[in-house]
Amino acid sequence: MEANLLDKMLADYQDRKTAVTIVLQNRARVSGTIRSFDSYVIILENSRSEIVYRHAVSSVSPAVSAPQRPATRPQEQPRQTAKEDKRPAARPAARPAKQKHPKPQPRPATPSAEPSLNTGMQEGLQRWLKGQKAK
Amino acid sequence: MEAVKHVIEPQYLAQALAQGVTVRIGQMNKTEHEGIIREIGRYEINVEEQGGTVTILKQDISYIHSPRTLIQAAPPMEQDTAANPEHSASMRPNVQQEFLDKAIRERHVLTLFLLTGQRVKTVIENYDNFTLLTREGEQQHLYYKHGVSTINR
Repeated sequence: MEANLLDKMLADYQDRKTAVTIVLQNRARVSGTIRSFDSYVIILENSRSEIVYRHAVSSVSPAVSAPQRPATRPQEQPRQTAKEDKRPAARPAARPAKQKHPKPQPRPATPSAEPSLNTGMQEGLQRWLKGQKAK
Repeated sequence: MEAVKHVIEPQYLAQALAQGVTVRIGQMNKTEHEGIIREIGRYEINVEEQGGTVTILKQDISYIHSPRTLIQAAPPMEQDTAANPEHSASMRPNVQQEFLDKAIRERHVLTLFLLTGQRVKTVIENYDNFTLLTREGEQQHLYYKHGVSTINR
């Protein structure tokens, strides 16, 4: 087991001046060549230079592989959409009840402020309530 | 802190590496990678996809799915549970360990709620400090605890 594989890979990319794509945890992508790095940040050089914090990094790949990534997506898509389809189905059902309020909001106002579990639980609860009402 | 008897995660990854299995890696941001593990680091792994090698940080991995069994089931830890009362008398009970040990022994079907919002109904086969090993027929899945929010009976 390599003690610090990422350092090794980064040094490798840096030496070869490979263009890399770094995917961040928020799904943002930054690309460029690696100018330097230490144990906390990576300095990327593209049109300008950017500092990327390593604690925010999700994955690092050579930029050539970036266009190929969507090719792997379709496989995940059907499964994902199947799951996500349920949510919109649950929401319209929950909406009519909320329309009594003056301002019907298209979405819960603070989806990102809440941990995802909470929204999951809310949805589950709403679905359950709906099921109860149906009975 | 009592040492956990098996280290599952390194063993799982090493087997995947040795057998050249194509694994599916789900990340915290719901993207997935499918490829062959090429190198294993302490905090990251290199995966070969069609496009090239991707370095994926373990901190951002939610699960790893393998199409075949990588780790044979460990024998039930009878002697461990027998030894437990003495331990718990001397130190604070390890609630998580007790819960998981019981679930494994009695083959409970558990529901894992992941931070990504997915829920997974599954049977836990083994665990270590950082991961849970589950089985789906022939397939064996590794869930990182840092990607799990709750576990329900």
